[in-house]
Amino acid sequence: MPDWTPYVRERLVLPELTARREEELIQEIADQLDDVFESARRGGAPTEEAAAVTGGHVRDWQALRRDLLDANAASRRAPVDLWTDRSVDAAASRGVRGRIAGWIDEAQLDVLYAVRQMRAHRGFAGAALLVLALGIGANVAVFAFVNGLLLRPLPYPKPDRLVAIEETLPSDTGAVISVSYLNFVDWQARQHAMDAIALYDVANMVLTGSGEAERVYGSRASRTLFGTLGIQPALGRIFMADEDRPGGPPVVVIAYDLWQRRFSGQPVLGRSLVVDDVPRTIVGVMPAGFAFPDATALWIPAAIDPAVYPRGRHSFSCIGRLKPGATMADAATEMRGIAAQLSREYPADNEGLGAALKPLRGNLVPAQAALGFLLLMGTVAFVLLIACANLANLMLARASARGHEMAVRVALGASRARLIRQSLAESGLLAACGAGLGLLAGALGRDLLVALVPVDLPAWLAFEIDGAVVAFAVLLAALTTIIVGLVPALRSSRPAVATELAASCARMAGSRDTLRAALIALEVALATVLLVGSGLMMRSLATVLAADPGLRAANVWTGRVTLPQRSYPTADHQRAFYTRVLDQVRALPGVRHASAVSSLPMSGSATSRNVVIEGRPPAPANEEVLAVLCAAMPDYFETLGIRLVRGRTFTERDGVRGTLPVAIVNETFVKRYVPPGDPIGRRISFGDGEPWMTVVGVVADVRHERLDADAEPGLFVPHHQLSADSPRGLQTGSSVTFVVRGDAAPLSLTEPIRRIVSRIDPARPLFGVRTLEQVMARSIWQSRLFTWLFGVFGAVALVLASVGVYGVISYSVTQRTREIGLRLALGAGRAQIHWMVMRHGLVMAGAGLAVGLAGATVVGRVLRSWLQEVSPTDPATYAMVTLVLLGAAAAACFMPSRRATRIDPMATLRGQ
Amino acid sequence: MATPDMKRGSTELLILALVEDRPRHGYEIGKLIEDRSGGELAFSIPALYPTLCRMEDRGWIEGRWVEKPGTRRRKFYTLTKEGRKILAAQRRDWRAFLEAVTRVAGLDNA
Repeated sequence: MPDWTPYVRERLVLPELTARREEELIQEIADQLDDVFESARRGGAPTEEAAAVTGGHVRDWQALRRDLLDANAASRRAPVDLWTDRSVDAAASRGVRGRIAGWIDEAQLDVLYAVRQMRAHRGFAGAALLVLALGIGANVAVFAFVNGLLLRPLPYPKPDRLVAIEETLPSDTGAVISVSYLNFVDWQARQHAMDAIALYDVANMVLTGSGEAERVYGSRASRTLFGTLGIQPALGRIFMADEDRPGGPPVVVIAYDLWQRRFSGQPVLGRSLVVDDVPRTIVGVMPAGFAFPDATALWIPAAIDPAVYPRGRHSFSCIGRLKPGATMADAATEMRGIAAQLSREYPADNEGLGAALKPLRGNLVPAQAALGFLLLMGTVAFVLLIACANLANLMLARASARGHEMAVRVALGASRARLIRQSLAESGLLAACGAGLGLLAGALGRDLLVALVPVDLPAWLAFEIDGAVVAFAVLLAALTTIIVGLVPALRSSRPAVATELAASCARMAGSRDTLRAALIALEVALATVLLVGSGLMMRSLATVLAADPGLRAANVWTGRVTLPQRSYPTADHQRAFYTRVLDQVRALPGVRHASAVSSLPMSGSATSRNVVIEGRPPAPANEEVLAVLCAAMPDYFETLGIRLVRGRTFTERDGVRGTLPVAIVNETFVKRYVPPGDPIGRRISFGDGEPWMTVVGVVADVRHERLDADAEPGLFVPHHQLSADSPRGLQTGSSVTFVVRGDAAPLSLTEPIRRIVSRIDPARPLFGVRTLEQVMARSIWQSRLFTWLFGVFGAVALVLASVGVYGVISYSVTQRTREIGLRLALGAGRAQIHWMVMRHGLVMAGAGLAVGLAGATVVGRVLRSWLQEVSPTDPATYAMVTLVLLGAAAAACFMPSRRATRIDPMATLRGQ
Repeated sequence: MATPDMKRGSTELLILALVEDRPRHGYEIGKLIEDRSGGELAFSIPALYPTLCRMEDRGWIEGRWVEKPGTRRRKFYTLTKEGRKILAAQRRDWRAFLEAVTRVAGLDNA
């Protein structure tokens, strides 16, 4: 059954009546036409005939209009104030309250209109809602991340007063290093701008005793940590002063989660928990959700022994809480002054070291991730803008189709404001529904994003759909309303009355389409920027993946254990454990090589040390000679398939007490630090009287930080060569990663290896089990995720822009039917017409493309830090994007232009 | 066949009479007039509808939107107290008028 309301609305315009009365009359007459139609159908008339009968029912709409106006004398509008569009009499008599009531009344009616419009154009409304829900949803999901990462305050009291304190290197690069314990002690004694400062670090710790052996993150913390953060324990107490000194009573404060998990929430205060083989008394439980710094399950007193952590050893993180009234600049000035004093007092260790403060909030999020999500935010904003431009265009097209109605309304005295309001009500309704759906879609998108992040997220990080996110969605809806509604509203509210009313006057395409064409060019420009951005990222990722990683990753199993100082106090004890494990692992069927290393390539856990190279002039004071240091067991390079460039790899004899200390370096180390000549036989030291090590081999570069990081100088030493008690050299670190090369399916080795480790020491749980390929993939998860997301949004932008081009060209062909018919009749060739239409689309797209390519160079510069070996102005990417976009635009123009060539000139001329 | 002028003059009476017993909607009113007059009196929307509006405006009838499950929203008209008086008056006037016309024009014998 056809809905007769639009039919009536088009023919019956009654701006002299109140809007409500007008709408009521239209509705009622439409109802009656429905009845007429139905009754004709029941009488056996086919649909067309019934429609004709119904249409013929009202012959003279103008007469009906006059009669209705006569009949509705009482419902006439009072004279209208041209500026406010309010009834002068009514406003005067109704007062403010009446005015508001009247306004609400009209607003309701506008919404009612809008609902009817949506119902009448279900296809349009559905498509618009889908586009808006996806557009707003993508924005909401990404904003939930930006909000969680960068905006939401940390879950501590007065979080904006919390600062991170770091030491700075003498170089002017602003490089920061971890804090030395003794410097911290002096800071604490001398500073006054902060209420308290606190020291902490985080390590893998093993819990034994009650229940299974378990690896958790544990933090060594000064007793000021909890007070600085402003958090009280939920149960019990924090550390006492005498517990936070070497040899003090062993205590532990545990996280709420650990209490629930390991102790089922039973009373725990006073109970014992064995942490890294040290039995500790539980004195406190922190409140639920507290896991500072990231995902910490327990805190033990730092109780630092200055003999183990001398001033030159920078191992800790430091935070502080500004005093009320003190600014960060005050505190930073004071801290710089103290650092300068310390550097005068302890020149050997502190020469040139400074101190720097940052808001703790910003310091917790890696700059790279923050930049990535901000870029992503920009991307989804672009996508939404493109979607809005598309919708605005559709509304414009519809507004033109309703141009006659609008012209009549204006001619009869309907005010501009009234028409604009109505148009805004329509876009507002769309945007509001779109935002509602978008919030739902955004929550789903957020879950999807969280699932795509392969690392453990810190406890303070929550991506909730909170007030800020909802407010953001509302803001988007408002902007969408304005963008989508205002342009067509302004256009349709001042139609060229005379032109429109001369309805039979043929329209020539031209100036009227300028706005639409500009919107399309904008869409294409935005899509170009996104495509160039994602193209650059893809090229960069492809380059990274195609590059030689320096090792053979297939079929390598990796897994970690930690050996606590208490049970494995010396390098000999540790070596004995590793050797026993490795001997048994090598005996497993299908195992070819097995070894262990202090830090695995691409795991992000590398540590750097200053080195001295024999025969190299001393480095200037502001230049660091740093190398990534790894302690490896024999067979390490063979297991990972790291290519040997010169010399030899480690043997079982290397590092044994009494032999000459040796080292292996990588190619970048040689290139950057070693003077010309054969690097083999050259000697290296950590300085300060540490023994010289002779270089016996050079190996291929393997990235330490991430697969897509730059190669760094690398230095390998035999694990056996290290002493656990040497303060200045490499401490053997309590954790190693076992690496095993098998014949196939490396993860099938996990259980046999777990059994071997557990047989040798049941209190050493195996954790972090992955294949080397997984480790590599994880190391570039950010690039991968962002490349993938940029790619998806770029594709969406391309599709939306193509649809936009198609819509406008198709519409213009419809508008120009007569013109084209005339051209054909006058002898224009089909090919000419075809090209004329195509050219129209391609010129718009080309203009957008030009603007977009220019804009993309700006975006490329922002992306620079993400790009590996791809220039931000990579010509191949730009050329590809140009081709893809022009291709898409041509494809979008093709169907309408073909339709144009099939116009029958005779038919259109007869129609004239 | 009734001429348009004749119809127009009688419309108000017909409408008032039809909504006397129960509420009816616009299409039903038009249909009933047509059916009960054996097709002699047929009203299209332009003829009937402004009259309905005018009568409502004057307060003789009262329109109310009614929504029943499964059907469209419709506007039903009922007779107001004022309308009932008008109907009685119009019936009286018309009866007198018809009798007079009958007597004068000799319609009985036609």
